Amino acid sequence: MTVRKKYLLAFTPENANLPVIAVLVQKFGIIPNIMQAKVNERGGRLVLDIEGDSESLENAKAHILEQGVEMKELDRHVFRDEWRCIHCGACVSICPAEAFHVDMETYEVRFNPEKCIACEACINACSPKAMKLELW
Amino acid sequence: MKRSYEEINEKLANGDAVVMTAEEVIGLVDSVGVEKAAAEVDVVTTGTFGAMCSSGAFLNFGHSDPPIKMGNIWLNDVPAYTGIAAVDCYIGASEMMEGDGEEYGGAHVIEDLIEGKAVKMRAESVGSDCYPRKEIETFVSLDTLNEAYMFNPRNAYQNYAVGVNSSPRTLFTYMGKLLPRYKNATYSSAGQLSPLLNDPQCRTVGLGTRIFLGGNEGYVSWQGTQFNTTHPTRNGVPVGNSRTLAVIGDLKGMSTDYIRALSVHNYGISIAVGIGVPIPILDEDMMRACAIKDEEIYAPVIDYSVQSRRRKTLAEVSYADLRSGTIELFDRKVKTSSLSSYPKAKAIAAELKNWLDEGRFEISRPVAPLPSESKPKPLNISTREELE
Repeated sequence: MTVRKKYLLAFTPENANLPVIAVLVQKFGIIPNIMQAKVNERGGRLVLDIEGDSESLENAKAHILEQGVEMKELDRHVFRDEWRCIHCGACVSICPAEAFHVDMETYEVRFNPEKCIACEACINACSPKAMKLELW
Repeated sequence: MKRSYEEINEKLANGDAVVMTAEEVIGLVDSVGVEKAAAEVDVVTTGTFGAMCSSGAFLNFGHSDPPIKMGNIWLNDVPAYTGIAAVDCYIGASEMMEGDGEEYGGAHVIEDLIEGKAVKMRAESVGSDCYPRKEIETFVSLDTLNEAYMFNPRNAYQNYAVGVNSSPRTLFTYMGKLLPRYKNATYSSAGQLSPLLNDPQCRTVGLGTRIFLGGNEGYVSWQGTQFNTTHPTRNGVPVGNSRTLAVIGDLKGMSTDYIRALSVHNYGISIAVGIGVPIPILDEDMMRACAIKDEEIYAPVIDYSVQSRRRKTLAEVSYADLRSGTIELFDRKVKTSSLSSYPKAKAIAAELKNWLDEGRFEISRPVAPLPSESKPKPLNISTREELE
């Protein structure tokens, strides 16, 4: 069965040089779409939108974890505290992934976590502090 | 057609008044015209819910035994002002917590009090014969306070600017996060629902006007600071930040649905205040004013990367365009963000309409009008000799 999921990979400085993408493609036949890649002195992080056979995906995950790279499904990396959200719309124009849109009937702001690429741009744009990071 | 405040209140008391929101009357006037709409509708309700930094609350704690004249005071480590009587203080919404400033401030203290939470109060004093005590530390809540009333020197701005940023770096302003090179634009007005845009000359809004404030009844207590009547108008309403209201109301009875603390990144603390003003339809002119729609209200686009009070207006855009999600600026499409909440503004106008429909809220004739002419002065660096 083919599945499509988003993952956040966290590297330490020691394993930041591992060719993870190539291994995913060549060894496991998985198609990764790189949504975010950052490397600095503390290591790095990679956000991938992955499409592939579910069994290969499980094997790939096991392989990556063996190398000491953390891998977490990004189902709730950024989430919205529904009570704190006042539906202003400050997040709408600053999201590069267009994960927010205004419902033109009610003018309420809708958040689509599936579109979220975990760039965190909304976190400091949200003054009621409704957009939050899931810590891990 | 003429209608008096007394007639309207009599109809409200009898349950015969027709009350509509400022959004609803747009359609009515479109379909039946101003004359018929004015004859039909008695009161139009408005609403706004946005950041209003110039806000705060007076609190009275009651006297401890032995008593203290509070010299310095902290509420959840947020300093408040005590240069008034012994156990009175003013907690400003924008005041920041000592230490960890940007996450918590006066607005959060106010929100916590309204929410019924206990707030840690710490005060110190030099001590005196009448007030021997030098230190106190205790918890207080809205129930333990004697008086707790919001008094906001400048709220409910009649229109405001649209923020953009021409510079190469992201700016964090009170107009929100402004992306480099005009990549987004932010605005903050309820437009067609906004109180003072529906009574642009403040004919019916004046001192003593009873209003919706934070989910409770409140009153207009003065003109707001920086009250400005000098901006050019389009379709009868000013383009830019013009008139303002100073408002007062009991914190006891307010709701955090309509008062919400804000932490504006790299700027500071602010507070979202919900205000609704009922506009009595005294004649056809009032109905014409209340029928104003977003297409007819314009705001000036201002470049917030210019760090001077001499900022030029880059363009004028309508609230209909702003609310559509994109505006055109220099032949490019620019995404927009509202900073005030239109759904909350709608909810406030609807709630105020309910209060009027249920006969729980009377409209009031202003005790005195707001200034017909006023222009804010800039602050210049002056010597004593130049001023005396």
